[in-house]
Amino acid sequence: MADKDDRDRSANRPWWVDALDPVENLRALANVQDFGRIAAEELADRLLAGRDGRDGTPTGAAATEAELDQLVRRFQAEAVRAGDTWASFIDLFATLVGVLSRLPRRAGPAPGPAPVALAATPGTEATAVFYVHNTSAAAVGGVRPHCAPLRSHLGDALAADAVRFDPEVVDPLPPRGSCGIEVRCRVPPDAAPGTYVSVVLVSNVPELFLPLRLTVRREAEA
Amino acid sequence: MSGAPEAAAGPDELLAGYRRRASEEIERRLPHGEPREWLYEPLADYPRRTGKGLRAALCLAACAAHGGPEDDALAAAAAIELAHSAFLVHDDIQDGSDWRRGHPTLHRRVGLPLAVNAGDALAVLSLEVLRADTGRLGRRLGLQVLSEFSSAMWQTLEGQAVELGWRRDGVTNLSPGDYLELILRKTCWYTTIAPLRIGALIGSWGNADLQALSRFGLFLGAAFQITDDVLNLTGGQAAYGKEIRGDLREGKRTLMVIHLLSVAEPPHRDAVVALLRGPEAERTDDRLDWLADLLERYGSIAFAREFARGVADAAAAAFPAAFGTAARPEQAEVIRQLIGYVVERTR
Repeated sequence: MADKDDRDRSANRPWWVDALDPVENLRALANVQDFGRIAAEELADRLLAGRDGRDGTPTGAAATEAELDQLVRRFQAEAVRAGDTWASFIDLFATLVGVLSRLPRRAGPAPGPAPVALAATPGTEATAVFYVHNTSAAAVGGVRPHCAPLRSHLGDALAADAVRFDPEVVDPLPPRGSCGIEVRCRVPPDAAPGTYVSVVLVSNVPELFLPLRLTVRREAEA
Repeated sequence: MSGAPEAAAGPDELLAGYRRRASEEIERRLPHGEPREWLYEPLADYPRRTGKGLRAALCLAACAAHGGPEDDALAAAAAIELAHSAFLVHDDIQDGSDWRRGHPTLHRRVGLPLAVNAGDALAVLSLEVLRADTGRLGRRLGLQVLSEFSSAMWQTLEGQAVELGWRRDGVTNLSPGDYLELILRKTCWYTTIAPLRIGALIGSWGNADLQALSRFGLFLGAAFQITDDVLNLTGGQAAYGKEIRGDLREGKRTLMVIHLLSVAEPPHRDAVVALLRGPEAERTDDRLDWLADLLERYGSIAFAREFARGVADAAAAAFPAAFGTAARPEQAEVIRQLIGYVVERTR
């Protein structure tokens, strides 16, 4: 930093006048280093002071305070680092949730209609009711339920005529109307125990299909 | 990889070590692809030419002195060097220079339009390198570094505008104070102040004393630039790498020219002003010989040399405050050695 004499001189006239005056030049050149140092320091004082950061250089007797200050600053640094890490973690987690929420659902069988479930012992009949809905604005005629023969996983079959529907046909099914249909399943006396399945379809209601599951139990299990 | 280079090594060897590490990092970051011939090859030209490595050295050493691994600041050092290359490409075009680091300037090699474009690309690349590093530094520190970087770039652009404006408008009534303020903006911010501040921020994780570093950086950068101006007059082209007397041909208002205008007898002064304000074509080799002779006879070159030594003294005086509170001040020894180097160097 400039000494007092230098400061006093610069307060009265620019520090470089001596150096740039032709008469004084030779004498002043010997002090050019001082001029350079003072010029640079004055510029720093004018343009950099208070720009940012903290000032002060603890030395000597303040060494302990300096060490403490150093520790505090390192602690702050680590705290900031930890804060940044957590902020990054939260950002990443939020991003992950966002990405997952935009992923398409895994392809697989769409949940189908609930099966019509029946249970009976050989030589008896089981019944259940299902409903046919007409969600359109027009009446639907010739609504006739039917199904293929019931089969077990062992290949045993019950004849198609073992299953009957009541009513056999609904004609017409009114607009936005519903109709309950009873399904009756007669189990032959010699039917083997097990689970038999088929599908109920309904004429003129192409979107409807209903799994039909008949459980034939032994008489002792009933 | 970290730790201070060997203490016994001289400044040239120390700088070479830092330069090599920064060069490897830059090479890793250079983009490839098409159009290779028209963009990616010209873009890589200046970063691959051997510079002094001063910016990288200051950035990495400041990081180490403030407690961080030097590798943490490698990307920032690479970004600063890339921005430096971007400035050099455009600076050579603005000055109409023919030589840079011992080879033809980029616009002489590939043509003006492609060189302008490559300079733009280098500026964008420097920002990309910093942005990519933000994830590793954390959002807060990453933004601090980006802010420091952009602030320094603005200072540089403002300083460059002032210098170009002086030349376009024939401004000659300048004092050494005007010159110092010019080089604070044009050179010091991105050559010394920003590398020190950014390295210290990374090393201390955002807690360094930046003001003391800025003060030291200003003095170191000013001593560096004044010496650079002197070398432009007195150095050998092979070692200096640029055109000797290129500054005079371009009509730059260096500290030596400002000194000459202040001390010369009126006839000489008027002739120098006319030469500086005239078109560059009038600054022929004969006229430049005459001008260089005047600078020698009036003591302007000696004045600048001594002035630079005085500024270096200010840097030495500011050094303890700049690194006294750093976590590992012994790692700043490399930087202290550079104070003498910047004024005594020959290239």
